Amino acid sequence: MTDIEFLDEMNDLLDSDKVVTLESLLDDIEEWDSLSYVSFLAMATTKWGVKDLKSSDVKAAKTVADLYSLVK
Amino acid sequence: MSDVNFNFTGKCFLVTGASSGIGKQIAIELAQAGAKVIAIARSEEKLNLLSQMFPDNITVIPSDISDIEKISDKVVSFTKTYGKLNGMVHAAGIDGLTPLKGYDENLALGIMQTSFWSGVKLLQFVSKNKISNDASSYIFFSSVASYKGEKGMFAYSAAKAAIKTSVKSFAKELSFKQHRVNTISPGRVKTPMTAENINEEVIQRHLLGEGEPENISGIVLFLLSDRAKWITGTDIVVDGGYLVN
Repeated sequence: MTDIEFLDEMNDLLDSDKVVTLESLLDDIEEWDSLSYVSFLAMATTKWGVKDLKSSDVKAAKTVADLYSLVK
Repeated sequence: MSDVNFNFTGKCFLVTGASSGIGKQIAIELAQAGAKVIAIARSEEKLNLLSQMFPDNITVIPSDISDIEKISDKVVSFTKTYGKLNGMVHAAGIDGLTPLKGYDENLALGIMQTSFWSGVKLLQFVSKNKISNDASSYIFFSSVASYKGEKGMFAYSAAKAAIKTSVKSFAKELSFKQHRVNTISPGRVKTPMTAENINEEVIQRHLLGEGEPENISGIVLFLLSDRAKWITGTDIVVDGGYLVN
């Protein structure tokens, strides 16, 4: 999955007025809440085929790029 | 003349199952109240008749409700012309007898697909920021059949129970944008769909007799309105006293 494809998916998931980039800080994204977090975990497994993704790793992510590194 | 008049001028709504019965009545009343309405149903002929009644207010999408891709393209186009949606009513549904001994599996699955899964997919799409304004109201149809079983109706009851329960999750997930999600559980209403399955015993258990689509549309318009802005995640029974009897 390319970073552009990942960002498309993330922007769709977050459904925000603002477009996120790899550099976006998760704390600055209002829509990055508990629901988006669960949706990200679900998408990582079902859509991107990521196995053994730990929720602690997702919680530790600070930027969108950090999330991308967990699933690429 | 009714005791209550709604004014939805400047508002936009999507209604499925709009070619007949309850869905049609809702689309008509919304258009009468000044709303712009996207009317979705399979019958292009019946939708065109509806559109001719309100050419300035009703935009039709002849489509099976399961064809989300086709519907979504046309909804996006609508929003570019008229603005984002303020709500949706998923009135599309099918019923049929599915007795435990010898039920038609395709019919049973189809009932769940139309009433439940298609509604879920539609909500997933219309609740997006680019489609709906904040504080939109989404209404789904459950049924008294989700409270009380009748012989031969397990698939219908299951589908209606599924949507009634799921709405509670949707209400939680969508509340941060002040969106509201509710179900209505009608009793037996005279529609072309119910006319295919007459059960006199069930009809007689309605204290106030069999309902009409106008008996349901009022509560729908109320839930779509700002007078219902504090109602979400709930089911409203409108059944002529069926469950009480």
